[in-house]
Amino acid sequence: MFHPKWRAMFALTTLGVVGLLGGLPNNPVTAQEKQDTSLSVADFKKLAKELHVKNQPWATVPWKVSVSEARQVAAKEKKPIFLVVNTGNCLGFV
Amino acid sequence: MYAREAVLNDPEIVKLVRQHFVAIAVDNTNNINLTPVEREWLSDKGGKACTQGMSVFTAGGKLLGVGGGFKAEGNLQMLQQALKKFRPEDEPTEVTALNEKDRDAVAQPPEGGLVLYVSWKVLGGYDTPAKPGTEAHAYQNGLGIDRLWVRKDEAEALVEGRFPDSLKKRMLRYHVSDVFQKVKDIDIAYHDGRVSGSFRSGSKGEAGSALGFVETKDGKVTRLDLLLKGRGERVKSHGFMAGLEIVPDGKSVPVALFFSLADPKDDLSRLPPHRTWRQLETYLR
Repeated sequence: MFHPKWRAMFALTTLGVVGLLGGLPNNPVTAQEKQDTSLSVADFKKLAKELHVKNQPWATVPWKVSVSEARQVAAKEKKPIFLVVNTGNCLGFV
Repeated sequence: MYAREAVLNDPEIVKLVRQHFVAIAVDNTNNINLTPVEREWLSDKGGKACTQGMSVFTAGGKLLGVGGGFKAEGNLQMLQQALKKFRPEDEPTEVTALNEKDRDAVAQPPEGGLVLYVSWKVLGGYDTPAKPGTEAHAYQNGLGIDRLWVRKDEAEALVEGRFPDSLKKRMLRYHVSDVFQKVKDIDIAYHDGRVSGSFRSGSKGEAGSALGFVETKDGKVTRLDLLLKGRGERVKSHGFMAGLEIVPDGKSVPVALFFSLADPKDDLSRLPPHRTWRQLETYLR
C-alpha cells in the first residue's frame, strides 16, 4: 500500500525516536536516565550492608572449607563436625 | 540457597553451631572442594547426599546424626541429639591426616590476586509478599552468592588508577549478565578511588547504575566495593539464582548486585567461584 521509500523513512524515523527516548536495549544510557537511576552514597551504604556476605547470620559461624582442616580443629577443640553437603556449595554458588 | 536461608540462617542453629560444632560445607557435584580421598572418607558420613544433606560426625569418623532438608526444626533436633551422643573423652586430640594427594584438584585463587564476595538480591516487586517460613519467602528475601577472582595484574591496575577491561568483562560475563540479563556492556568510570557506571538490561533495555569505592595502601588494594542496581527478569536455574527464580514471567523487578573484597584469611573466601569448575583458564582470561 505504501511506497517502499515511505516505509523505509517511517522505520528510520521510528528507530530514531525510540533511540532518543533511550528505549533500545543497546543504546548508551542517557544523561536523564543516569540522573533518574543514580545511586547515592546513602543508597550504597544501605544496600552494601544488606548484601554483604559477612553480614548474614550464617556467615558468623567460623565455617571450614576443607575436610582435613575441619578434622584437625575438631580433634583439638574436642567438638563434633557439622557437615553441610550440597550440589553447589551452600556457602558458595547455590 | 533455600537450605542456607531456611536452616543455616536460623538463629538457634547459628548459636548452637557456633558454640558446639566445627562446621564445614562441601560441594560434592558442581565445584567439588574435596580431594578424592576426602570424598571417599565422607562417603559413609553423609558426603554422598544428593542435592542437599547435613550430618554430624567426629573427627575420628564416628557418625552421630544425619539430617538435611529445608526445615530448621528437624535439623536443630538432629544437632541436639548428636551433641548428646558425642563423647569427647573417647575421641583422639589429633587425627592422622588424610592423604593429600590431588590437593591441587581444588582450585586456588590466582597468586597475588584478589577474591571478591559476590551477592545479589531482588529488592521488591513481587506481586504478593510471601509468608515467613515458607519457601517462597526464602527465595524472595534470600541472597544469591558466589565469588569472583581478580588476577594479580588486574589488582595492580586498580592500584595504578585503572579499572581493567578484563575484570569488567569477567564481572559482566559471570555475574552482571546473569543477574540483570542481556547486558551488553557496563560503562565504567574510575577516578580517585570512586567507581561509577551505567548499563542497560533486560528485554526492554532498562537503565541501571553502578557505584563503588577502591582504596589502596602500600601498593595493595585494601578495599573494593562495587554495587550495581538495575532491573532483573526471571531466571530459571534450578534454584541457583535466588529471588530471580520466582520473578513473574514478563515482569522486571529492582535487583542489586554487590562485589566486595574478601579477607584471604577468611575461610569463606576460599571457596572457588562457580564458573572456575573445569574451566579455570577460561575463567581468568
